[in-house]
Amino acid sequence: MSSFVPDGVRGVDARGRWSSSSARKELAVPDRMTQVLSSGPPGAKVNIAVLGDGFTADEQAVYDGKVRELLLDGVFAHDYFYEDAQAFNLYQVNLVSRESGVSRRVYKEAGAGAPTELVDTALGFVYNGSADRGWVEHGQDTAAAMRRALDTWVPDYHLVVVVLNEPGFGGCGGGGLQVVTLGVAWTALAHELGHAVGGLADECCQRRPWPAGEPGAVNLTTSTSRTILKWGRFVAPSTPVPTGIGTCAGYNRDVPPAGWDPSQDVGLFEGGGGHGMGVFRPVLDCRMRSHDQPWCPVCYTELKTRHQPRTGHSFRNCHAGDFDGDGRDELLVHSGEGVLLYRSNGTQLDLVFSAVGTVPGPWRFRPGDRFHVGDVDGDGRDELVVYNATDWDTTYLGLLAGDGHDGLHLVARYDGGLPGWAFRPADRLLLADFDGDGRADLYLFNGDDWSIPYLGMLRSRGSSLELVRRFDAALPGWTLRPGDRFHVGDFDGDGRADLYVFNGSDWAVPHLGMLRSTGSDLELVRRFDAALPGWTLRPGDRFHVGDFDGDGRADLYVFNGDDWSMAHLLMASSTGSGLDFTERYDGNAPGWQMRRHDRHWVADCNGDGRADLFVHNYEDWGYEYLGAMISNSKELNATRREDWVGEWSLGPEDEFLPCNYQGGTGTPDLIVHNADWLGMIRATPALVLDRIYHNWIHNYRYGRNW
Amino acid sequence: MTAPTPAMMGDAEAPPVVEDPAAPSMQADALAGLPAPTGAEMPAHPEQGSPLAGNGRVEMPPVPRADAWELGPRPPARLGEQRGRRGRARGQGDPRSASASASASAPGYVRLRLRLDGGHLSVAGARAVEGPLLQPVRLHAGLACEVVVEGRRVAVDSIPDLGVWRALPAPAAKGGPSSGHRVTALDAFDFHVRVPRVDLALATLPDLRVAVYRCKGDAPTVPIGPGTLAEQFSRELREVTRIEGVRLWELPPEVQEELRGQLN
Repeated sequence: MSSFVPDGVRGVDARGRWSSSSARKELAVPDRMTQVLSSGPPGAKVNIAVLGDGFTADEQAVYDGKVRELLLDGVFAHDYFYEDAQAFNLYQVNLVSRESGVSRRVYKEAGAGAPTELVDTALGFVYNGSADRGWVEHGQDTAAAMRRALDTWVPDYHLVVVVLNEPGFGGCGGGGLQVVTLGVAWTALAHELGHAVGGLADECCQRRPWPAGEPGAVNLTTSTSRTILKWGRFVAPSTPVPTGIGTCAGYNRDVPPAGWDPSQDVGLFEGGGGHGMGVFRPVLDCRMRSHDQPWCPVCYTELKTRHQPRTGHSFRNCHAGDFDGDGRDELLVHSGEGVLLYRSNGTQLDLVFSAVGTVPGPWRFRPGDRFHVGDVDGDGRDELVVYNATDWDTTYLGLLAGDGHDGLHLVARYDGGLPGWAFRPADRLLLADFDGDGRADLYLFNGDDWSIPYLGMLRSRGSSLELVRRFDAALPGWTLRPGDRFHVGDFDGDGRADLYVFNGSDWAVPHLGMLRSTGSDLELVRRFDAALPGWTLRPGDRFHVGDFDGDGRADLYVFNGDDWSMAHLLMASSTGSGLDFTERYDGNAPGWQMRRHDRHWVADCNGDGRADLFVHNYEDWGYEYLGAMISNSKELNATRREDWVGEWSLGPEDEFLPCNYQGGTGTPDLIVHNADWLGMIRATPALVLDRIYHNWIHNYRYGRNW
Repeated sequence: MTAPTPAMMGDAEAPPVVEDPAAPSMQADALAGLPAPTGAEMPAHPEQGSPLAGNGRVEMPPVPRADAWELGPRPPARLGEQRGRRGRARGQGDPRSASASASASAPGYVRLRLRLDGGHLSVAGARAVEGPLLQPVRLHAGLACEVVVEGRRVAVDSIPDLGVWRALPAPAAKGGPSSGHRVTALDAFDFHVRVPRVDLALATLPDLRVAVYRCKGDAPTVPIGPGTLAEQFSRELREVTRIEGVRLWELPPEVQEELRGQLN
């Protein structure tokens, strides 16, 4: 598709507007479109089309740079729009103009005459340089030219941003169109987007009274009553209401408390909406007043609420890891085409990274990405191994690491496989340092996609992987079958992650194998057929690996709630070459009555170096329960919560992620999450809720978004 | 199966909950000893590479010799984008193909362009767009638009920032508050509403009703339910204007042409 310029009558009409025929002539350099932010189908997102006017073929780089400055490095690199970039698609349309710059019109103050310096551009905008005259005017063909460009290049649009090749300051907008010159900064555009996609009102004020009536916008009110104040949930009880009165008031009803934040502490301040009296705004200063300030809680929450459904954000897929090496786990939340990374300060989470679509390398996030966390390069910081076998024609495995600036980048990617291993959808990955070099390696098992099952050992070289051993159909002393279930743990305490393997479905009796890693191979240490010491193996056995006696060897918890008349839990300690019976609980453990649908997570709940269990049951009782079963090496003692942990209502959708967001030793913390809610629970060992978030993670100075 | 017990008992002496009295007991099973071999146990010395019988699948290619792959491919220094989205037709990602290739059988929606001019609402155009359409669950402050076809609501949306034209304020002193916009109310303006393609056809245009509402004050807090907006939010919304049926032949020729080209 090419760009066209008027061919025929050109000039200004009787009212001084650009006039041209609709006949067009092709330019040598074609127009083009680049989707610079791709979050999903247009019908599910807010679509912003960016058009340039007055940029010749040689000046397209100037336009590209301004789009980057305004939108990618500006609006979408800061606060709300950064966080919710996944709600937006950005289409950058490069329209080639025949001449450089835009038409200019100069009004005489007396109003007589308006000579126009005409420039032949793609859209025909006219710059007049006057705030009183709106800075910019449409040419006669501007609306039609824009529509042609949009219909040609953009599948759908909610907002059109036009960048003019005009160095002076100026711009105007409304009703889904925003025009800016090269002289406009991203902060002003962000403010305008507050109007355009947030329905927010100006909070700036002039010395004139508010006419009448309650404004519809969420960030203005005429009410001075705390009880019916529309943003009352964000106002601390100690804050006077009103907080500031008088024309365009500051905090003048009392002495502002120490540390009062002009944009984040909420009160009721007179002046806003372009009026000085009779109308009130929520904060001293917000991006809707001074462009350089961040969004206030009221505006931020309105933007979040409006566009939350379009982000596709959910708390379903959460992963914890210490990606910055500060001793506290961060939280990675993956939703569809993007990820959000939050840093813990010990009791709360704050956003440090938001990525939509692609991170440098590149890796393009997709809903089917499966993440595994481990220190792959041995630098004391965790990395991410991400595997996608469902969203592409080829199966991909990527290694993502911190970029040193709170972000992530791709270190290595394997497309379809690596020498000696072809990826298939049923591949199961286990991150574990099998050679003891401090770098997390990868065990890969596939029992379903080939004529025989395979197990591979992929060694990490820090920034790449190599296959060091592949087992076809059998391991030493173990015949591989599709139903094999592998669990990693250093059961002999030599610093190398070994394998427990269980098969309860493919043989006449269940088997459990202990396979020691030599670093480049596996050796069978012990195989148990049908029984462990003090335990009869059954298909429904569930294994949890952890060093519950703190001797440096990974032991086994075995739970079975399905195959017997009552639920059983075994503690079997590793001797390095076998398993010893430690304790078995039949239907009841101290502090916890075991039931069929108990679910367990291994964690060091009290930081004593012994692996404990978090346990959850929502199905078998009249109440939901969450417990911490603490090991003293020989037995377990449980503490539990019924129905609630603080404000967290335990429920069937809850998933639990043992981690350490406080810092210190062990994994005494739990991220509890479901689609809409996320909680931070700490084991003391009694379970305490530190924080709860709904729909999004944001730490309001006072109040919250529900 | 034991009926759900109201609450867990806390002490160590609490009796075990018998889930299924008919199920075997581990204690009894242990006393009975290990089961007699049937021949279907795992062999003591399995063979590498023995294929599973008759699953019809192929084997993974052999591992290359070490000297072949040690110097072989490494993660490429310059990688391209991942390619080929599973389940997507070639070219489907190209926005330019969106309207051109939209067909009656494809999922998609129609972006209906409406013009509000001096209080009069009219249809000004339409474009077909591929892909799913996310419908809002709540109304927000400002204007709202509702589309009803043959008595059934098929689309609703909030439209922020409509009917005004703002000039950017002249630059303020660094860090200072803005002096405010120069705002002009518009008599005429266009806006869009998006309707699932299956719900809007040329034949149903006479039965198309479009209503534009203004939120009287704050937006309704409850989600949009069944029934028309006027019925559900009679206190919060005020009707601004509406279209009661569209007669194609009464529209400007270019609009007729566009609707014929974009609607089924």
